[in-house]
Amino acid sequence: MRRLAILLPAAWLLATVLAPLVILATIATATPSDGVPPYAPLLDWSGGGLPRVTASADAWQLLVADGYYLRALLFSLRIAAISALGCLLVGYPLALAITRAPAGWRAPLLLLALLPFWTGFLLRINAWIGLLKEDGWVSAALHAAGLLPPGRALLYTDAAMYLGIIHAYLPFAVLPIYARLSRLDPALAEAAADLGATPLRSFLTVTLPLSMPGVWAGLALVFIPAVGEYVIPELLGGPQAQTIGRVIWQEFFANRDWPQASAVALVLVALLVLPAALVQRAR
Amino acid sequence: MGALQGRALTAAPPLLDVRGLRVAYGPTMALNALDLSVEAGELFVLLGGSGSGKTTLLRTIAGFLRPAAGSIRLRGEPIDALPPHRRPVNTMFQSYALFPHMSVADNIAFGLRSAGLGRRARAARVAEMLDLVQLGGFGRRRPQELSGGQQQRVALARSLAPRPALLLLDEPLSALDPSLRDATRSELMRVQQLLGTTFILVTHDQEEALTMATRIGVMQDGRLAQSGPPAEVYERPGSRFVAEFLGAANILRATVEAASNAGTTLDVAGVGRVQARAAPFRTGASCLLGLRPERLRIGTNATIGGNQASGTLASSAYAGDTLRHTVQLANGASLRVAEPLASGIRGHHLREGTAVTVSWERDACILLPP
Repeated sequence: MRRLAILLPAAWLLATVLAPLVILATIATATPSDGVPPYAPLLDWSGGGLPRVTASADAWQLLVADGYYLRALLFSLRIAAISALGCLLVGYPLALAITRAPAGWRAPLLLLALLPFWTGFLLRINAWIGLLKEDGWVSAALHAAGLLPPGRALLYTDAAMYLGIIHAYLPFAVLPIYARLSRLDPALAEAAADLGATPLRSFLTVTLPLSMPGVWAGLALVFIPAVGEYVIPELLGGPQAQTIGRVIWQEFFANRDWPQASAVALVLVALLVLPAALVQRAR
Repeated sequence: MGALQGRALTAAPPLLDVRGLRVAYGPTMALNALDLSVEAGELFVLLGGSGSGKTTLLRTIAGFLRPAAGSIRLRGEPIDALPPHRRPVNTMFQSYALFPHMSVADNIAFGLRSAGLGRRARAARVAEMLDLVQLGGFGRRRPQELSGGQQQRVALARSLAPRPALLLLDEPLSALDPSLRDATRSELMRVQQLLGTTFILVTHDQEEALTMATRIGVMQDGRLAQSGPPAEVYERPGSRFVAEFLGAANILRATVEAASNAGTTLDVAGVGRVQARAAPFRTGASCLLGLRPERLRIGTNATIGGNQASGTLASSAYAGDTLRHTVQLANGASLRVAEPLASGIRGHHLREGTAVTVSWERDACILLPP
C-alpha cells in the first residue's frame, strides 16, 4: 500500500513531466526535415548494420546567435514581472479586505473573487475583446472622458494585454495571500494597536511582514505561467508583443521548425524550474 | 460605607470608573449595565464562568469593543471615544500575541516606539524590563525559541514597558503547565507590587483569584454580582450564585424563627434548629442556608459549635488532602462534607450506611436571600 502511494505520483510525474521533457529534448537535437513529423529520427537505420546518429545542434546555435529569441524571452519576463506586480497590487488589498470582512461574508466574497476563474478562459478573453474594441464600452468611456483619442481602441495594446493577464491570473495571487492573512492570529494586530501603533504602522510592521510568504507564493504563481502565456498576448496584445510563448507557437505551427520550437521551450522550462528548485532547496 | 463615601468626596477619582456599561453581541447583552471602580495600585481579579462577560469587559476597556451605552473613565477622563492605540491602557493577551517575526527585544520595544522614545531610551527600558522578568540576555532570541513560561514573561514585559496606567491581563496563566502556575502567580504579584501598576486580571480559576487579588469581582450574566476583598467575598457571599461559584457550598432551605442583633435562629429543612449570626432577615422570612463543606465536621456523635444535623453516610471519596463525604439527611437532601486528613487515611473508621452527625459553628452559617 505504501509503495503504491509513492508509485502512483511517481508514475504520474513520469508520464506528464519527465516523458514530455525527454521527447522535447529528442526533437530539439534532431534535424528538421520535410516529412511528418517534420524532423529526422535521431537514429538513422537506412545504412544497414549499426545506426548512424543524426543529432544536430543547429537549433541551439541559432538560439544563441539570433537575438530574436533572447529579446522575446526578456520581453516575456518583463510582461510576467509587471503582471505579477499588478496582480499583487490588486490582489493584496482584495485579500486583506476579505480577511477583515465579517465572518459570514468571507466565504461568499472569496467565491466572488474566484468566480471569473470558473468561466471559460477564452470566453473571458472574448468578453474583454468586446469591451476593449473601438466601439466597446471601455474604449467608449475613455473616448468620452477624453483619455483616448477618437478612432483609437484599447484593444491590441500593451494595456489591454496587461489587463487581460492580471484579470486572468488574479485568483492565483489572491488565494495564497488570503490563506496567509486568514491564518494570522487576529490578536497580533490587536496587540500592535494596544501598544500604540496606528492602523498604518500596525499593517506595515506586523500584518505585511507576516504575510510575505503568501506574497511570494502569489508572485510566483502569477509570474511562472505568465512568462509562457501565449493566448492573451496573441488575442489582446499588439503585433509588436513578441512573447516567448508566441515565438514557440510560430516556430511549431507557422515555420514547422519543431527542433527550434523544442529548443526554445526547453530553455523556458529550465529557466522557470531551476530557480523554483533552488528556492525549494534554500528552504 | 461611610468611610468610603467620605473618601470619594475628598480624594481623587478612582483610577478606573466604569458606569452603566452595556455591550451587545447581536441581540444578546454581553455586558448589562455594569458598574466597576478600581483604585490605583489594586490587583483586581475578575472571576466568572465562560460567557459571564469578563473578557468582554476587558476588551471594552482596551477599546476593541464598542459599548452600546455607559461610560469608561480613566483618572476621571472619559476614554470611550479613543481608539485602542490612543488609550493609556495595555493588555496582556491570553495567547500572548508575541510578534513571531521580531526578536524578544523588538517585541518589548514595540510600544516604546509608538510612544516616541529614542533609540537609547528604548534600549535602556528594554534592558530594564528584561531584568524585571528575569530574562536578561534573551533579547535577541525569537519568541518561538522560548518556553511557554518565558514567552509569558516576555508578554508581561512588553505590555508593561510603555508604563501603562492600567494593565489588563486576560487569563495570563491559563496557557501554562499547572506546575508553573504557582511560581508564575507569585511572580506576577511581585512585579505588580514592584511597579505599583494597577492590574485587572481575568480568570476562571477561583484559587488564582483568592490568592492574588486585592479585590475580587465575581461576574454573572454581564454584571458584577459582588466585589470585595477575597476573604469577604468567600466568607460572606451575597447570593447563592456567588456562594456556589467561589468555593463549594451546600444550600439548604430555611425559615427565620427568631432574629435579633445577637443572632438569628433558623428552622432548616431536614436539619432542624440552627443558630447563625445576626442577619438582615425578619422573623418568618424564608432564606437559604449556605454551608461550606470544609467548615463541617463529621462523626458518630462528636459535635462542635452547637449546630448539628443527623443523617446517613451515603458515600466517601478519597481526594488526597481530604475525604469527601456525602451525608443523606432525613428529608432526602444531602450535605457534602470535606474532612481534612490531618493524620492520613489510616485513622479513618466511618463506613457507608452508618448513622453520622454533622456539626458546625455558628459563624460557618452563610445566610442568603432565597
